Amino acid sequence: MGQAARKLTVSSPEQLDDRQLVERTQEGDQEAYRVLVERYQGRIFAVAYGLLHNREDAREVTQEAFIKAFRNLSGFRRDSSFYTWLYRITVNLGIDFRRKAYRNRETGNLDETRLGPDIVAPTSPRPLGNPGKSLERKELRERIRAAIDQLPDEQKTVIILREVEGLSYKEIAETMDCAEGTVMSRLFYARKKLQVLLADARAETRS
Amino acid sequence: MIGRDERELIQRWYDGEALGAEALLAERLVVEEPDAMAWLESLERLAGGLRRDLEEAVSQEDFSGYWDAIAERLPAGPLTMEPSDGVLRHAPAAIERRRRPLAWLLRPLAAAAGLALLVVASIALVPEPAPPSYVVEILELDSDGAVVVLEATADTPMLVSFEEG
Repeated sequence: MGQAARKLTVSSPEQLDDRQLVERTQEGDQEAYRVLVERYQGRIFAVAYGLLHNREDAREVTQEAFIKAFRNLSGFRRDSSFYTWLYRITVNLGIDFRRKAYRNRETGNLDETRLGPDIVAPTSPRPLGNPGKSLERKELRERIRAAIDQLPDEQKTVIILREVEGLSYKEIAETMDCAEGTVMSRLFYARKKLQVLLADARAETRS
Repeated sequence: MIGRDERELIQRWYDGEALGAEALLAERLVVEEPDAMAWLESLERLAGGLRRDLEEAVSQEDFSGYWDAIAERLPAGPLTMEPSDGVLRHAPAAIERRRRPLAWLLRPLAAAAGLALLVVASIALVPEPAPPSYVVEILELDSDGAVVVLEATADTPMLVSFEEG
């Protein structure tokens, strides 16, 4: 009975931690990788969306990040955590994606729907409790998006990893391959700049 | 009015990175300094707006087809190290091309270095009158008549000199 229960626990990939799932994936078990994908797809999409502000692009970058991670999993260092490694891949892909999109725009090769804020109507809008307040929130979100778009990539990344993903300075440093002091400094500049940009936007709205 | 140090301290505290005395100091600042409170509120406002935006984006995303889209592009079987893991197994073609034109120089350079050593040795070592048990051996080096002269006695080290033909 005890053995059967133990066997059942071990055979369920959903019960395994990241390290065990990574090991199983490295041995060729794609089912284990499916669990990793489903565990992190929301968080990875959020990071990609935070960087790109476009649903299609974020979807592409998210899927590409999981494919790239899988292909490089044999070289994954087990002393670091899977998700910070995955975040790093996502951030690099997201930044590359943006740069390519801007290059395409400069060369006149732009698909306008693939760059900048997502203006597609939500597929399943939430019921509006207070239309006035909701509009105010929407405006704030758009102002924040516009302000974030003006930040350098490094500052944008730290603010998303900290504010949205809740990563510690140490985890952000690991993800971005920099010192914790650099993380703190980038966060500080990003927040100061956002504060100024949002204040300017509020002043413009009032005038 | 608070300065950068205080703002950074409040930021660390807000991010959960300030502990002990630092955390107490940050708390006191926020209570006593209106600027510190305003800074803290701006951090909260920004975080709230950003989180709501991304949470909404995630909640509206349909993830049901993600795994299928990913799985069809994954290689089957146990994983092997890919070249993209950072380990360089073969020099890229460009490096090979740059390396190849230099290869022909290696042999002549080595030969020239060897000859130069012999010439230096022949200049530096002034020949002394030959002792009774003097032995000279002449070795021909190449067809132009250049020779290496080896001189030795029973109690002195071998002298090497080079003479052109």
